[in-house]
Amino acid sequence: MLLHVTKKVVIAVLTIWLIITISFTLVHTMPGDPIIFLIGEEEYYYLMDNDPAYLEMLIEKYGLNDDLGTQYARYMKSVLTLDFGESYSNHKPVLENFASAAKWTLRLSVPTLVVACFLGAVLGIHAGIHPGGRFDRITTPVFLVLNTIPSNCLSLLLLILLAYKLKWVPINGMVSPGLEGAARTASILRHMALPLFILIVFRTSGDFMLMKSTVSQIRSEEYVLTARSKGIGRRKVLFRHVLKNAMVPYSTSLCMQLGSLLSGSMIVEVVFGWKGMGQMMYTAVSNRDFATAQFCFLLSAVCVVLSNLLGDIVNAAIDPRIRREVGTDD
Amino acid sequence: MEETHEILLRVEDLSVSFEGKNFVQAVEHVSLEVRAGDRLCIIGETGSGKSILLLAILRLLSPTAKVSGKAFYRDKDLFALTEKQLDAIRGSRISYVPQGSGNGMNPLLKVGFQVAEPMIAHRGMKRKEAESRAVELLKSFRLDREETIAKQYPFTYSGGMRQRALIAMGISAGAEVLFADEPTKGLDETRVKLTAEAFNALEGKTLVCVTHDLGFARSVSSRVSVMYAANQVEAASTEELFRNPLHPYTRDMLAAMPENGLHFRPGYAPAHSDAGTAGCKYALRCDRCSEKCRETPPLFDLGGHQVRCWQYA
Amino acid sequence: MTKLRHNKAMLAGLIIIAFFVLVALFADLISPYDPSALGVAYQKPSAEHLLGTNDLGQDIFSEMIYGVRVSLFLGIFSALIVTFVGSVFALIAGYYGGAADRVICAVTDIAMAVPSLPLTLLLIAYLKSGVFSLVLAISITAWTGTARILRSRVRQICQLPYIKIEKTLGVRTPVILFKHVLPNLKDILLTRMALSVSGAMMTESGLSFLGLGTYGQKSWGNILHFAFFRNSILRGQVWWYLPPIICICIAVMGFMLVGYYGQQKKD
Repeated sequence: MLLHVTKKVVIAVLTIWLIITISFTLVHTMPGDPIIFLIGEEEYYYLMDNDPAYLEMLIEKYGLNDDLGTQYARYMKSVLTLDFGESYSNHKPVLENFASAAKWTLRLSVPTLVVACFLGAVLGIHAGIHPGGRFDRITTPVFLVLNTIPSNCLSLLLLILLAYKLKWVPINGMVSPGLEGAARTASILRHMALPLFILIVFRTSGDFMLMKSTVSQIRSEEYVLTARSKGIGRRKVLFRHVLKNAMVPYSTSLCMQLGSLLSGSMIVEVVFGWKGMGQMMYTAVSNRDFATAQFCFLLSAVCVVLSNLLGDIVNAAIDPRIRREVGTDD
Repeated sequence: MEETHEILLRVEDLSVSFEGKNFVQAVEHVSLEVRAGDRLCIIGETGSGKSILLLAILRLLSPTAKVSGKAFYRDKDLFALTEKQLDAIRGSRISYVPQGSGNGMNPLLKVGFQVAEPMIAHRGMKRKEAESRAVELLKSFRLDREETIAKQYPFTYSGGMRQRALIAMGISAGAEVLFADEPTKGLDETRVKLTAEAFNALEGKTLVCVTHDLGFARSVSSRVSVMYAANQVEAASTEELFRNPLHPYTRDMLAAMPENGLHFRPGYAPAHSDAGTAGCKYALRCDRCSEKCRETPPLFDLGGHQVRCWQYA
Repeated sequence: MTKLRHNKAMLAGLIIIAFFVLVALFADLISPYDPSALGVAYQKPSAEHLLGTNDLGQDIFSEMIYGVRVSLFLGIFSALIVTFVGSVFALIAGYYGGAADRVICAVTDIAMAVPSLPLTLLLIAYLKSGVFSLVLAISITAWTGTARILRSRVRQICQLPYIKIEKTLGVRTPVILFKHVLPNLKDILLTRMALSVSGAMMTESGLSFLGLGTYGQKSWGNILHFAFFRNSILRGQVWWYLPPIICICIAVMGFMLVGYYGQQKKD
């Protein structure tokens, strides 16, 4: 177990190192002067025309004349000390912008994760335990279709229907201005209803498909037959034998979803004007705010790696076969 | 004990078929009587429907299976009981022992607990108590290092060890009838011997064992029933059947055993979908087949030796 | 019965794909206007302009017809790259095994851990916008799934006795790969490719919708971008925002059906 976890941790650390290196390499291999990526295009061309000496000083200040090794070491150091520079759209430290965006994203992503994981599991178990039954025949096509509709399309359709036509929810934004206390909370809740609903629908359909296929596969395993032959009752067969085994892939998937808590859904956030992490990265990319874009990339990459690691550990904790599987090749 | 010839299990005219895109007749009009202390082996080639028969009696088949006929345990009509009433019998009176080489144990639970599970369910034992009983049981089946091995997971076991642990699981709650499904599949000679030994060491148990291993059947059973293409073709005491096989299929099967010279008769059993059509199922391969074999022969009883062949009419 | 249903679903997918391919091929003949020709803005649908005109007075129906080309081209082109890269890695890893296999598996594992959307976006931020950048950004993380699935299949095939015999007989590697391994992969390659197309089209439509796709090239996602950001919803211009939504959904669904049910058939 310890060996297994250690191995996974080492791989995770290597992956994170690789990701940081990729983002460093991108700056230096992309066409154009690297200083552009630090101060932005507008500033660059402005300085080039009006104050080349200052530009030269900036290049010196950021150490872009040093050899790549030194620059790489400095980049590593700044990342490790959580110094991500400042966003040149509002000249605030990137971390400060992050704090406010993260808060709004979490308001959507945490409830999504909790509700969808529960809903997907319950519906998936019901459909999977009697594959081909009535419940399965109704739910599976519905979720399959939901799973394939691109999120921008579903978001727009629901926005048109629920916000414009039926006027059930506000069209855009996160909170109506000038409200305090409970009224403000209520307003936020009203604003988040639709994006939250859409996110839950998507996440639930993914969770549902996973749980359904796992359960329908496990129920025909021989050990489930053995369990039933022991006369321990339907509930114990379901919970102790079917679900315990189904939890292996499901919990892995849940852990991996934890990694997306902070990155947020870009399309939903943009469509609904929700100023979260997705919107932040979107704005950064469209404004070529490289410091922010790079931070968003690093953050979500590290989150994904860490959550994969968590998934591996949880997996090994549940499944004794994985704990043993160290150094085996097929 | 020798004198108790009470009938524990009675199966009447049991048929199982699977509807669906390809119709399969898995078991056709099988009747059995199992008395206390009997050790019955049901022999047949793979696909002859013998395992399905066991599962059908315990109602463990999937809902797509169509089962007709009757099955009684003592005076209880197994097909009329509610699922709950049946659960009180499964594992506690009749238990099912799956193949050791298969995936018959939950890979995520310790073997000790899985052996203990029927005791917790049926004997009202606490988990601790049941698990220490499980260790003793495993010990009695010559599983080395029992205490530690009970704390192991099934994947660390070999096929033979798993088979013995599964037998221990089958008797743990005191079931009097044991259904064993192909216990020697995938085991080498030594492991087959150990498994046979394990079955023979069971005292006061009634065994219904499905197998295609004739040597194993001979070493554990007191009675044998032969199945061919979903049908019962012959039934007799083990001694009688091996000394005086009557049905052409049984004869051919015995002739094909290594010690009898490996005489093999070519041909295949008819397709499952052809089942239900009239005529002797073995007619296609039989060298004594006659016009009469176009009709399905009944099971003739020759003084306790039953055979489904017109030769004995 | 289930087989029939699978076949029907696959057939539906194939019909959808064939339809869009035909439209793409004959876009010049079908579309009544040049999609970039300017005219009177915000016209309602009429006999002249079946789906009205957009904010620049361009004919939306013609835009949609030409949009098939761009969307389909991007989807299929990305999928080709994804499938090619994936299968080359899979063949090397599966055929040679050993160190090559371990290296490729490790690379695949790590590439799988890199989150795809942020990397795609980061690339788009750095690269000059254009078709090639978009295809590169879409494909850079998408090859991993194909590589992984194909690798295990190649491994299986290479364990088959007749391949082993050919190897020991000294038949040259390319001959074995092209004559024996690849033909066995044909079905799985096609289904994986169909899934890749639907995935790539989804990514493309999302990126273009956000305005991060191709400039100047009118894909459906791009049309939807302008429809949304020029407030067509507020103005109730159904004919502007609805056609791209419907087309994207149907096209993605078409490729998905072929891929998903083609895969099921195999199992």
